[in-house]
Amino acid sequence: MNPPLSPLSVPDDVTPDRSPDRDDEDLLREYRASRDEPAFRALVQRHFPAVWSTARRLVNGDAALAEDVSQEVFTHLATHAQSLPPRVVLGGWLHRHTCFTAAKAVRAASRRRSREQLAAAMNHSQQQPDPPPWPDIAPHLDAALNALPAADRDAVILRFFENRGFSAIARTLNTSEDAVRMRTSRALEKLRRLLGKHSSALTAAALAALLRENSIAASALAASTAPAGAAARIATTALARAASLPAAGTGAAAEFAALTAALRGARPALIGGTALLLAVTAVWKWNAALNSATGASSAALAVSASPAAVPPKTLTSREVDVTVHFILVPEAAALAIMNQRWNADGDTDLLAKLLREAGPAGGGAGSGGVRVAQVLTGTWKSETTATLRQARDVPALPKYGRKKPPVPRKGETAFMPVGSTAMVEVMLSDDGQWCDLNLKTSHHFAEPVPHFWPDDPGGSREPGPSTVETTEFRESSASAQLLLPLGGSTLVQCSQLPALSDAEAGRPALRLFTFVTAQPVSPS
Amino acid sequence: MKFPVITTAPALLLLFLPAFSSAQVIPHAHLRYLSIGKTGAATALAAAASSKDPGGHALFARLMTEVAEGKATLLADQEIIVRSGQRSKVAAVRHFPVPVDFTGPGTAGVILPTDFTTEGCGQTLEAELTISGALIPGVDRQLQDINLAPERKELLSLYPWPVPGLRGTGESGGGLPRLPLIAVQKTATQPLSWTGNTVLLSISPSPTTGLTDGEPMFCYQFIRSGLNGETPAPPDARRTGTEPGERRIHAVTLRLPRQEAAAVMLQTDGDDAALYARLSGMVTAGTATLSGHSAVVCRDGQRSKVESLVNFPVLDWSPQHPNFSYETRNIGEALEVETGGMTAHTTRTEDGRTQVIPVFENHNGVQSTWNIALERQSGLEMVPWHPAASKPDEAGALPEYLEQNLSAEFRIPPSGILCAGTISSSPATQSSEPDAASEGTTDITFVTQTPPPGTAEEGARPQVHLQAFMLSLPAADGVPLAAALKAASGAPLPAERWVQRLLRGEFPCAAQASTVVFPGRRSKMLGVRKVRLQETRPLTLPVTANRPSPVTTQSVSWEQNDCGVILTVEHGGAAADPVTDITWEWDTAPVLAPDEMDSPDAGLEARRYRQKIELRDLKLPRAQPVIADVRASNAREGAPEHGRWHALVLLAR
Repeated sequence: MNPPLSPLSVPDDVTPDRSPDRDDEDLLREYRASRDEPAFRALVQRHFPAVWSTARRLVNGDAALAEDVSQEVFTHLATHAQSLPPRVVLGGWLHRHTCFTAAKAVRAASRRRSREQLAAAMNHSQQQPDPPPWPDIAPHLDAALNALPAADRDAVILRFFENRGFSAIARTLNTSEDAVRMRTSRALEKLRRLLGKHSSALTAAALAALLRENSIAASALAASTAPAGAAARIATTALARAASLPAAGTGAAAEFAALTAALRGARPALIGGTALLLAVTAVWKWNAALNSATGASSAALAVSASPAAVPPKTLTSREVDVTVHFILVPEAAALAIMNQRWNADGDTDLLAKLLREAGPAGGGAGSGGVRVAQVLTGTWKSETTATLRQARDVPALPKYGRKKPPVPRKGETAFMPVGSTAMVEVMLSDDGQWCDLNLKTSHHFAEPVPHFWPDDPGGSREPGPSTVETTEFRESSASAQLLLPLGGSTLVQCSQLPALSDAEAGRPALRLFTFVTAQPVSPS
Repeated sequence: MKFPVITTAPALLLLFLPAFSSAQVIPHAHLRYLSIGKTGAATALAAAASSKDPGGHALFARLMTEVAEGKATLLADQEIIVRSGQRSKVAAVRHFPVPVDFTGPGTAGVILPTDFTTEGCGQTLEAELTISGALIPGVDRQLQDINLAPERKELLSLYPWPVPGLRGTGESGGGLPRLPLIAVQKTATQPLSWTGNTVLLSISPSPTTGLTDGEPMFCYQFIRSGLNGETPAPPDARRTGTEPGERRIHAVTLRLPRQEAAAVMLQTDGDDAALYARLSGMVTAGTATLSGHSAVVCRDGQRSKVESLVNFPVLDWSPQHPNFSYETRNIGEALEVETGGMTAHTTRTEDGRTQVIPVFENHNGVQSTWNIALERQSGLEMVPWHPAASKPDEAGALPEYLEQNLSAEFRIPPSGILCAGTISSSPATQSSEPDAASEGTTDITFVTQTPPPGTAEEGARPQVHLQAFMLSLPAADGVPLAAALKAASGAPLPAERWVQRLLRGEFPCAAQASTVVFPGRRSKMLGVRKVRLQETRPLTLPVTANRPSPVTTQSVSWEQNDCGVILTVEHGGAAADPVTDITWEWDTAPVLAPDEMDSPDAGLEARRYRQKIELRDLKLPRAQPVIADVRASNAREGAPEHGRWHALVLLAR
């Protein structure tokens, strides 16, 4: 039986570090610059109570599981510190990441339970006597916090979870004290409305009191039920794991970002996105390595990556950048790729590898013959549909008159596009972590082949004195609905390209890989 | 009422994010479709009767190795992402222009297309996916219910079709429109799978098998499914079989010389597995050939289909209609299967509505019957015709081809192998079967089930395999036999003696057919040659303003005729000795001698021999051949069966 949800408590050895001379930003900067271990330990010491308490709320009071979640969150922080935005509000970042890591842990656990056990648990919970207000809202608190805009959420966390003064919050958020007061007040009201579904008598003042009383800053140092020394142990483990994992933002990820930037051309708005791409790639690599290191089985996961596998992104608006890559790969290499992949952890690594093979300009600089046929990138607002098209129309099927010599009838020629098209419908999850894509892509190859009729049996494609001409095209298209974690990529389709009769005799066969990537729009 | 405290994180998110949230993440899978071509009968025969590798895992591994070694050909390899509950489609095609309208030949003798459409040649995969939350015991992976429709179109060549008014008849092609020959391979089925699994979806002969010499190529279609987030099941945890309720049905057709086939079928003791083994051995030894093999995965209550066809644009033309167009003929093989025995009962719901609930006699596959339709077209040849010898410029060519259809419902015995039907070929008009006029061939079709049914239905074999043999007797034998049958008031006569004489080669078996029929059902086996024959009818032109009196002339048209054997059997009940209605139709094709090729064909119709025998409420003993009908041939002088007597031998097993 798990302990009651209230009062929440944390170990007494983890008094939050509140040294006024070094704030989160300073400590993070020191750790980033020199992997400074004391700085990281100070960060863990400072934020562990909040992380652990949040995790414990979300895992139904299971202290051991809360510690595991905390471990994973801080390991992620240790490894991923390089790619955090420069002025990140660490408390908010940690809170969101804790939520998703805990959600992942809960899902994994819940899938092991049978339906009957779940039903029994539900019945049991319904038979409980009326609980006090805090247990009513505690299970919903973190979800409600996640539903707040990022700035509001940061304000609430700094004020009530870290128990900071308005002036300190103003310095952290780089704004005025009055603005912080206003923002905190409004955020509290929004939070009350969200939580009001579960406690009708809840007022903003009552909520503020409850938060002060029960959140980590207020109750932090009451009786401890967590294992002693948890923060120190977690910091040590996180640092050890970080040392054994590749540093973020280097190697393939950097190349990927550079290549993507080059492929996108000189679009200024997208340059900022490359930094995010870099970070995302690094995270995916990190995540894969972590799974390997910990021996974690992904069998219990339902999707390519759980929300926890993706770093929380601060969406400035409900907009995403969607990129569609059309990449041509020689048959032998493509077959090897397809035989080796079982798509267990998404396709970001595969995309990065192919882009690396294609060379900086995407034109096949590598010896493997991989080349980028087309890249389409655009920005979508959630719940909108738009089409990207980079193609030219070529006359393909004329209608001829019956008189000789035959002349095409005016206005009756069918045209075919040569180039690429992507019609995308985007729907962002309300928590901003997932992107639901309804995708239709097509790539018409810019290699139209003329045919002359009557066709010369010898195979010549030369026009004769009395011939009519048509044009042959090759197209690869796909339509699919899929769900991507923001920052993730997936292979939409892979197809062998049909050869064009005689024109391509002797050329190596090719396959077309189509990838789609969804990125949050850069704050810049 | 107090709001229940919901304590799981996904449930929390659901409360606040009703539209779409991380908690509502719907899984998706990458589906990879592969088609591998392998020449030779050995692999196909082994796959049809494989009880050790029902899932096709070992076959897939072997074929992929052979692809790497260059011994097999990777014909298609395509992958698409599919979200549970949604449909995805991927296509990689070349849009080939196909002429649909033409100018007339004109004085220059050149025909030009004036209008076009496009044909998408390449690979298309359409898939729908449902992922069940349930984990499959033994592999601990989620069950994926896949609805698949892969299609592969290949442009084989551009063929110069002969056109009236132009010499050439398909050889030089100068000035003739060259129309595309397009091969189509399709599968439509609903397999079950899981991450790490490979399912052998279907097998079909290469569409070009009937067009080229040499060993036939068979195409093996697989699906591999990877659910995102799941790693493949470890090899030692993989199940080698198919999922419950999911079986693969094979239709394997073996071709023997007609007399040998008659002897084999008359002497078999009803052990179809032994017969299959014997005939497979003959294929390996080169004394028989594998003329067709189609297979497809099918589940309870569903219908699956596999087809491998070549679309031939065939000239639709007659001398009296100089304008011409093309129509499509499908040449190839198609197999459609579904579980039979579906019944329904109605129930009334609480609100008074009537609900129909389908009930399958066999939910676990043991007692299932199968409805099968096998269609095969082969041996297409362009036959030059001279509709009017006085106008040699109007030489043209019309297509002829063989068609075989088997439609039946039956149970498959515990061995998993059933001999489902035989059909003798109709002689070719000209060259496709040089020995056709003297002997001809017989195709024997086996239907196999992988994995085989359980042993629960051991001994339960209510269906009847009804075989019909048409003995071609000299008059010295035919006349007394007819008299004996008449003396017996039409009751079937024992035929053991006549069978022994047939086996000794004293007279030939002119035609042969068989099919399996289930009690209360009807089955049909058809094997005909589609022959275009000129039909001349008297025509009286009425009085008009320009025609003061009626004019009597001839109407000449070219009609398609079905020349061959059609056997229809209806089972009257479940008695120990089956009571059947049998219809036997036999229409001999007129055979042209080589020296007749350039002559008018007015006499062809006269050389046809048509026979139709209808037997009603015939009670047949099991495993005892009987003679049910004897009659003289009405073939005219010069026809192959002229002067012969025909005795219909029936054998029910």
